[in-house]
Amino acid sequence: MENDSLIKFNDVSYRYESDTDTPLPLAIKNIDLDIRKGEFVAVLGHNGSGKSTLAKLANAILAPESGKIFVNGMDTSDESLEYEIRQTVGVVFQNPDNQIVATIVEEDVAFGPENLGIEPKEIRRRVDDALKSVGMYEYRFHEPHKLSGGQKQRVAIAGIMAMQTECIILDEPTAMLDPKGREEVMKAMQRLNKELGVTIVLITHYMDEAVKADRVIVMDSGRIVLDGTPRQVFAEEETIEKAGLELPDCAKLAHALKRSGVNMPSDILTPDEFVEAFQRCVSGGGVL
Amino acid sequence: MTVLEARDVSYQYSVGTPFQITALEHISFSVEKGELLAIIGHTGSGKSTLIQHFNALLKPTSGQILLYGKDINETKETARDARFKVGLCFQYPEYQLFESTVYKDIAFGPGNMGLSKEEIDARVRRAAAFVGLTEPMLEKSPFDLSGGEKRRVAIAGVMAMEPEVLIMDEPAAGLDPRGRRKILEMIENYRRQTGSTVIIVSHSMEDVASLAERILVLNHGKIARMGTVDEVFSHAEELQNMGLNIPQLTGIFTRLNQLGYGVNPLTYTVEQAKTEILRYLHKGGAADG
Repeated sequence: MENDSLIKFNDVSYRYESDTDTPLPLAIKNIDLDIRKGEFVAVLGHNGSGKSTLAKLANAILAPESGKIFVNGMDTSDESLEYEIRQTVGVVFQNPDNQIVATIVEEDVAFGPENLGIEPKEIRRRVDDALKSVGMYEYRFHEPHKLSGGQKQRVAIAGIMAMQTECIILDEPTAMLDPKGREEVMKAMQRLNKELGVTIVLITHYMDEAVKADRVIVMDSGRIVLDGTPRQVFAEEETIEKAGLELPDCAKLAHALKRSGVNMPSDILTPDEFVEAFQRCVSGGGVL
Repeated sequence: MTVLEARDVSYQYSVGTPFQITALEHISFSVEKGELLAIIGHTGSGKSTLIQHFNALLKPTSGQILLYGKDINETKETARDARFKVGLCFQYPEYQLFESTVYKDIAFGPGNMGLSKEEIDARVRRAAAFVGLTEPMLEKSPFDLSGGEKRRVAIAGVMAMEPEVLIMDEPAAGLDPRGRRKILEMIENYRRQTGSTVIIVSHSMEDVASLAERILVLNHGKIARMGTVDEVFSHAEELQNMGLNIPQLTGIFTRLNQLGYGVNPLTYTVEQAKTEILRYLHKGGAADG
């Protein structure tokens, strides 16, 4: 349905400005993409494949060189709509140090909603909820610059959560986190998506995070090379590897075993699925 | 031979303020020559604080850091010496690049060591080769490189000081799988060829399992465990309670083992896992499943 569309790219290309007379190659090439309300989309791609550029285009930080992008029907090239577009689509970037503005954690989280003119009682509630959902509530009176990298990132995520934008784009939010921190952030994103209906676009290098999305997009050299459910996308081992990526270890193992003549399915995505398939395989005699 | 030793090291931040935090408590351990030690721990467990002690950027509130048996904080000279012998590469080191060419950036560290021009040149080229940077790249601006290349320039800058101990905080964070693998291979090659001691801090249990010989586990500023990869990863539950985990495949093999399949739970890489399953199936393991 057309009106379900939240972010729509129509034949979009973009290139960064060059310091010299030779123009740089296109960072984004003729992309058509439709992100629908309520989706949880993971975007994969090697460093320099155009993932972060995609995020900046969706948030009107960059305007396309050609083609059009619409956020809730609003044209991102129209500067007068910038404010409203950013109230719809919030971005959490890779490096939290560039995103923290206040000297106390809870003030930092309150910064966004304060600027939206929300009443203090509601801000209080949102700040507390957001800090709790990223596991940083007990640090609410701390100074952000004294937190570890992972803790700062969770504060930055809470800041966007508190603005309650319809869509949050997260650009490798877990790159600096420990396993538990990653899991907490992942759970917080899933909760926002499932319970509050927030559309999530997660740019990540972790295949096990992408597996948990509804939809996975793989980028390579500025183009979308795969777009589908995790199961559809991760079945394309060759394209994934050509794009400089890897399957999750359990999937890699299943593929390797299959090639060695073991009767394992090729669409395994999680450790649980692997264990089940292995049990079936052993009771069925194991080897093809 | 012991290269580095922490002897009952404790460290407190912001002493005397309401924000006083004990970051490290009674840390004692030693690192052997040529060893690859990994340090793991939840965010805020004190990993970064600990490694900054090893080249005298931080001074223990109590306790000592010994380099070849000598306290590095004894005098200004010993601290300065430690800064050259122990090379520290921070998280996201590419943010610290600042020179106009890759060559100059790599030469900055050794340039501060009072070496001859020829020696500096030789070191820059050696370090560049270790990280796979080509000759033409040396004359480029570091800011024209990709993220992964910038990271390698920054690491080469530390390697060019030819430290006896190379410490890296999350060397592969933020890189795509291929970039990640490249950096890890590079570190292993560097260690094998130079015989240097390497300490890496990492949140990736997979990387740690495939690279390290011993693992130091920090939890709330204390050593929770120190041992071989097998010793540490055989305590899955304990690690999970500390906000850590075991590698994905180790999790699978631990489960299979608990379900009664005779496979080794301490399996880490896809290659090991494949061999282990084929071994199990060929010896007719189907019977005990």
